[in-house]
Amino acid sequence: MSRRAVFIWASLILFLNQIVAVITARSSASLDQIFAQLCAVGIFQYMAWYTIFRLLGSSDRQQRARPIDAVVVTLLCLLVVLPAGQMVWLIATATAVYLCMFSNGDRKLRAAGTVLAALSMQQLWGHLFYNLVAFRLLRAETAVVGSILQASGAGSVWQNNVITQPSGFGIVIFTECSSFHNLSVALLCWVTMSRLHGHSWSRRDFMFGALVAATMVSFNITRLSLMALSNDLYRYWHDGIGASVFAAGASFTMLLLSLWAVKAQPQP
Amino acid sequence: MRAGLLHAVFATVLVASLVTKEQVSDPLLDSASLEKAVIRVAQSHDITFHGYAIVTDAEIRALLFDAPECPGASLVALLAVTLEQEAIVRSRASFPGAQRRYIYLDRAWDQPRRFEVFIERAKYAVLSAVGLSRYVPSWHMLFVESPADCRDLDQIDWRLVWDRHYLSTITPKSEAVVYRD
Repeated sequence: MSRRAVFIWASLILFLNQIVAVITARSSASLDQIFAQLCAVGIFQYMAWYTIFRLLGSSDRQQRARPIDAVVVTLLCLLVVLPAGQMVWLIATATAVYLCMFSNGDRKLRAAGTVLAALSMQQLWGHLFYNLVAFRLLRAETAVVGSILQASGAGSVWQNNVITQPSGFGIVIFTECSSFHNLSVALLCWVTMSRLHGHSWSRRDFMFGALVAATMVSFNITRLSLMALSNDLYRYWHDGIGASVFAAGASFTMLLLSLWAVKAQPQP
Repeated sequence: MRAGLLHAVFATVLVASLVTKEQVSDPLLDSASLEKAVIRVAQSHDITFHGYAIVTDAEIRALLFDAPECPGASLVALLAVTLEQEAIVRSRASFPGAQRRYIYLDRAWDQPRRFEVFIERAKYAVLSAVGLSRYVPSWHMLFVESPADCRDLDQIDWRLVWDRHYLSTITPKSEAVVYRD
């Protein structure tokens, strides 16, 4: 068996387990709910999985799997049966490290490992580390939004993660609304497009990555600032059409920036 | 390596993992299950569930309880382990000398301790994954506020709130939440 077949199997096991976990998250989910949950996984995650399979599929088919490859990957995949919700991502991380470390010069295998690592980072590690520092980051984000509103003459005051207007209207910024979520997805999109293109990492790549991140943070800060102004604006940008406009606009911008970053690179 | 054998091994692992994933259900996926567990645990200690209190307009709700020996109502709120709602819940108007406790599984603190909660959660995530703990490391912890000299809520073993087996007994039909005006 080729090495790429071993890693395609591993990726397939991880992908299908993630999908089944999403579908069975609610025991009595109807077809509509299942569809909604599958959509909630996110277009950039599906794109990342597609890229992983495509990269693995186009890697060197002549490389034979060594016994150690088969043993390591089988043992890792066996751990999926353990009853822990995030086990898929722990195994994905280990598989990604293995792919990156023992790619034997196959750039496609290494690139697939990088995308798998980025996906694990977005799904698991990013959240874990973010939760540890979430409140500090939320306070910093609140201070930025509050300062912008104060500078614009809105007369806002803020404390911890709460921004209050002179009218008494106020918002609380929770982790779900923070820039972190957009940032992690934006970086996943950037890594995916970059690895799909197949060029070697360069300093320019990281400059584009920083640009993608800064754009997403500024988008979210703008949205939070608008939501903090009045109840009507809050309803529009948080629950109304504005929320969909923001989600679509931010996703499209992420994609365009990532494509632009790739196009600016020389062909491999 | 024998290709056919390896394909068979991976196919078996795939099917086995999907079947076990189908059978494993996590009773603690939402805070609603935890709320029901909190109410039931308190009621088993003769503490009456009084209803819900909306802490702010930000849809943070807390549970109110009346304990027999306590001069006023006690409040229990489910907070995310990131403690992002903590400042708001703590800043609400409260009775003087109120005692506050932050409880996560088998640990309790007088002050919010983010790092300690993070470590506890990580510890129980590992133990739970290998089947060595009956507690599910949820993303929520308890904030308990009771009047001064009210010890009733201190004596409660809140660990049951995160107990997988205890939670599996809470079904919509068996749930008996008693409200009191």
